[in-house]
Amino acid sequence: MASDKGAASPATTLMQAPGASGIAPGRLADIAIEVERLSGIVRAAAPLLSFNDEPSGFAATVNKKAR
Amino acid sequence: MSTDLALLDLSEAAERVARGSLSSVALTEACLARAKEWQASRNCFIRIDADVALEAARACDRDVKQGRRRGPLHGVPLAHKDMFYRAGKVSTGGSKILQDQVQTATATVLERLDAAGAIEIGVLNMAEFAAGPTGHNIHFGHCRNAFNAAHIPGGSSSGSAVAVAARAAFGALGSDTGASVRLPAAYNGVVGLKPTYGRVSRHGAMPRSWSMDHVGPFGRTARDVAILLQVIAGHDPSDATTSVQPVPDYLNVLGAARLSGLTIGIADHGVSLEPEIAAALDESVRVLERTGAKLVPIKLPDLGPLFRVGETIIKGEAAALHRQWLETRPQDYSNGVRFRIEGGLFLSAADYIDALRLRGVMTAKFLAEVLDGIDLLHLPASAYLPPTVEESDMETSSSETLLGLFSKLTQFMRPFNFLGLPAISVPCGLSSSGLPLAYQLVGHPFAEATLLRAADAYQRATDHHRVVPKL
Repeated sequence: MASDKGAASPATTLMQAPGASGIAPGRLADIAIEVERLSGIVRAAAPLLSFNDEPSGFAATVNKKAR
Repeated sequence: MSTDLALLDLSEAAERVARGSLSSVALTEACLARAKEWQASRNCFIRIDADVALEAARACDRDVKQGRRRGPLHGVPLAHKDMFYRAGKVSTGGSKILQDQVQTATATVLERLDAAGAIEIGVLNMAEFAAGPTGHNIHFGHCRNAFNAAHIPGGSSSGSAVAVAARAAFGALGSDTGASVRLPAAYNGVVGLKPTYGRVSRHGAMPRSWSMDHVGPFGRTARDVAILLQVIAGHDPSDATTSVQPVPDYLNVLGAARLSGLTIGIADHGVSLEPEIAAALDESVRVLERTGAKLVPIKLPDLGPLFRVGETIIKGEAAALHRQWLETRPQDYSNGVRFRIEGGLFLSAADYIDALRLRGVMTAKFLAEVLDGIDLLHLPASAYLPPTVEESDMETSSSETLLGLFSKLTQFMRPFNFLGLPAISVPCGLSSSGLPLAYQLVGHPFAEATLLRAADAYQRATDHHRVVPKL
């Protein structure tokens, strides 16, 4: 098992991710914070979801509730 | 050529061309004259197509003489955000990357406007890739507020709002992924409508975020917006996300001075507003009450999660759209646009999909807990007056500070992109510094007719929409 001591920082992890080649290294810390914030909001809201909720539920809701 | 004809409403201009009492050429010349006058200080056009527009206007006038009328917009000059594709033409999307890319298909909304007889006098400035609420554009020059060129016009459909406010076009289309029709409409004293998701086709409109993009019209009045929506609304086999819900006759509900039978919830949102904005909103509520609407207070839930879960969808989709160019041409993006997109490259697939799943659940919850028992929700358009162009420039200021400011500018609008609900921005006065003020109404799914009815009744009782900015 890897020790926490050797774990990469979020910014380092991002720097090695696919798609990161065009990003200025100085931006990575800001991006890490931003991604953490957005993921945190989604995960905090996730208890609203049931096993059977799917992405198409939105279109169904809007059309069912049409006025 | 007098430019006074350009001061007509779209509805009156269309009617007079149809009757033969006014030529399309005269209308088009009047709009072109104003477009050229205003362009130097406001930069609302990316391209003005005077010759093409005048040729089309002459053809419309010949039709009228022969007793033919193509549709409700016969001979009426319009202009649109430069992101609606037309086969054989370039649509820049406000970007350097697309500035030479000739499109091979025409957007459904343009096909429908063409079939209705509309004339296009040019294409309008916008935020690069429709990403940004201010109107800055480093590639084509910044667009500026119609009422004060030192201030931002709002974005991303900056040119659409300014051209309509300046009376350089009778109406315009924009796109709204997170406020991009309603905010510039509010900041330039015109009406802007974001329809229900699925009401208007996105086919051939440059995408920013497929799930959150809404195409919507700008006009000087609710009636003008209704005429444009009538033409562009409805199912499109080329856009599978469009709804088969029937399109009502929007004009049929307009014209009533009274809003009897309508219940409007007045949002208790808990956000501190600039005093002038708060006073104008209060007065708009009093006007709506005088027109016969029943008002009820509504305690609004925290809109933050709706804003942020929606942001997750936008960033994830925008990153997928732009990943290749972000890797190969990062220097061709402005800082502001690149910064907005980059985070999406690192969101997890599970978080993105959960955000999409939450959309249906949170929409059902909002309808049940907030909109149940009311027809419309009354909200601020923005908590802030438009900042200056200089103080909100992401190329020269701290990005994190400005991204925070931009979130605040759109805090009352972006949640309704996530919920997919129709919303309209309506002018309700001027600040002491002469900048437009506006309120927002939000409706039930596909209740655009109710929004337009309320906005039209409000405009019959007020004249804020009659204020024409001066050069």
